[in-house]
Amino acid sequence: MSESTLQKIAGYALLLLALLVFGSALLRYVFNWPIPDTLDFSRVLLGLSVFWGIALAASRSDQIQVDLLWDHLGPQARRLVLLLNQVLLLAFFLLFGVLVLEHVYHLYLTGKQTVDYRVPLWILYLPVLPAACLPAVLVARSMFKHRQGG
Amino acid sequence: MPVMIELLMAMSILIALLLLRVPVGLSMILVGFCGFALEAGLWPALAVVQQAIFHAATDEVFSVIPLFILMGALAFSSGISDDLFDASNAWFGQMRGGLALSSMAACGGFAAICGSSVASAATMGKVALPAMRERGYPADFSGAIIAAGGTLGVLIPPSVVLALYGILVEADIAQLFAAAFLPGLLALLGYMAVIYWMSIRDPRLAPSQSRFSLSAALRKLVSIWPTLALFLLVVGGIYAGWFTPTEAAAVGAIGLLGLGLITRKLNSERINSALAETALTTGKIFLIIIGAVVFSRYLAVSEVTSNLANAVSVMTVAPIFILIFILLFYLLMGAFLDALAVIVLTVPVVHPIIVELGYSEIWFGILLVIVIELGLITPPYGMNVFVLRGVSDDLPLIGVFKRLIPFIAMDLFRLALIVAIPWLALALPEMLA
Repeated sequence: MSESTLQKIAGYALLLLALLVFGSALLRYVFNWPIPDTLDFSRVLLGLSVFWGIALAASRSDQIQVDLLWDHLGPQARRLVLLLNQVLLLAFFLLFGVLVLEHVYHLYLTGKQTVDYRVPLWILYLPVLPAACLPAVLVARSMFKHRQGG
Repeated sequence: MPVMIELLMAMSILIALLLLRVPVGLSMILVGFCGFALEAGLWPALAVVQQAIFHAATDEVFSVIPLFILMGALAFSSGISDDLFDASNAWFGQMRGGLALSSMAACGGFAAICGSSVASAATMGKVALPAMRERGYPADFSGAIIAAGGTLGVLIPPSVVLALYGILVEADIAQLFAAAFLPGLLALLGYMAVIYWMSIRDPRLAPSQSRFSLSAALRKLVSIWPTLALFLLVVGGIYAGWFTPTEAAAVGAIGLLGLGLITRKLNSERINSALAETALTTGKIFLIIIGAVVFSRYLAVSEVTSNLANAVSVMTVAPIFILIFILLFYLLMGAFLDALAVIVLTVPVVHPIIVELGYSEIWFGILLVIVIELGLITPPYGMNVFVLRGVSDDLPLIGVFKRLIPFIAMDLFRLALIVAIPWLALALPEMLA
């Protein structure tokens, strides 16, 4: 999956979230009519933008890090630090994927639904599953590339 | 295990992981997860990580953060900064150091829309830095002005950092934004006073002035009225209780999108770029938020922070000295670490102490943001200065840091003033409450 696809999914989910919250506030003031299921849908849209955003950050290997020591390390030490980081990230993202899958499966088992339209929540959360599994794949691919490249 | 030793061990491992360049969020998740597993077992620890992931990613309270980031990204993409700079220059350009004063005023205006210091510095750096250099302003002085002006983004509401602090300590974000208003205004006026004083003291710093024309100044003011109106709607709406902060952020983002499309300053390419930037920042920040949730759950289950707060409360040292010590600690942290990282790493530990000492968490939030703001312009890792170096390669780093000294002195004076007179931060929230 290309980086631009990740950007589009996460970005447009956020734009939809902004439109939904804006529309909900506007309709509440102007027509005294709240959009049904705003809360559930806004949660899903936030989840979509967060999970796909995390996948995007993983695909770019772009995280908030402290470079205090890194700037003073030699090439050998940097390789070791990089390897440690990749191993930890891979372990976490594998766990991350499993936990998200388990949570969505739990939603399926419990049959939780949105308040107004009674839409099963597990269906709404299905699009986050690829995003939750993708970071581990991306980190593993990056590790493989590093090994190939030396 | 004694509480202090446990806390020291957890913090030492956390710092070691951070120094090994493990992402801040992941470091907090690892330490929080292992600590929780030791306290309560492996399965409860896994459940905590799972809850943290879904709590952070699907709790509507957190929507305020990506929405304000989106608002800032759209402000950046729509070129509002150019209009603000032109309007400020039309009003202040004729004064001694007029272009520098205009740049600072525009920084304040942009900060009010943007909410991020680094984005404010980068944006205004692209607009104001070339203009000042063209008029013969020295590179170090110009760089210092934009670096200092950029810090206003983190304080002048709406502020992403302040919103995150509010979520972490479960404080009212609207009250925090109200509390930041007067200190933010003081910061802007203080910086402008510093520029004026520096320009008078050394006229070579501000070599040329433009002529004032009331009609031109009014025209420029009219050209930025939609932006001003939107800022008033967003911040005023929160203060007046019309919107929740999340709704205000959505109003700001959609308002900027609408304005940009009407004025044709935004096209699909620019909108996509703003969305992509916001998506990436959201992903990076939310990994940290997940880490903060896991870490704070560990601190809660181990009772480390409550014991620490109790220990502090029985100390015979006057609370003000403990507060000063905490602020000095933040000053140090802010010089080395990212602002968001500093907040999520330390607030779960420090907040209970502040509450135990009897201080207002709203007031402390403002002090915290001011101290972190200082870290953005303090060597060795003054982030804003390095961001500007990215905008202009020939910016002399040491020179810029030297020129920043009066601005840092002004910040310290403002900090001391708000410590001495909490009313400056608390008056507006109390009035609105």
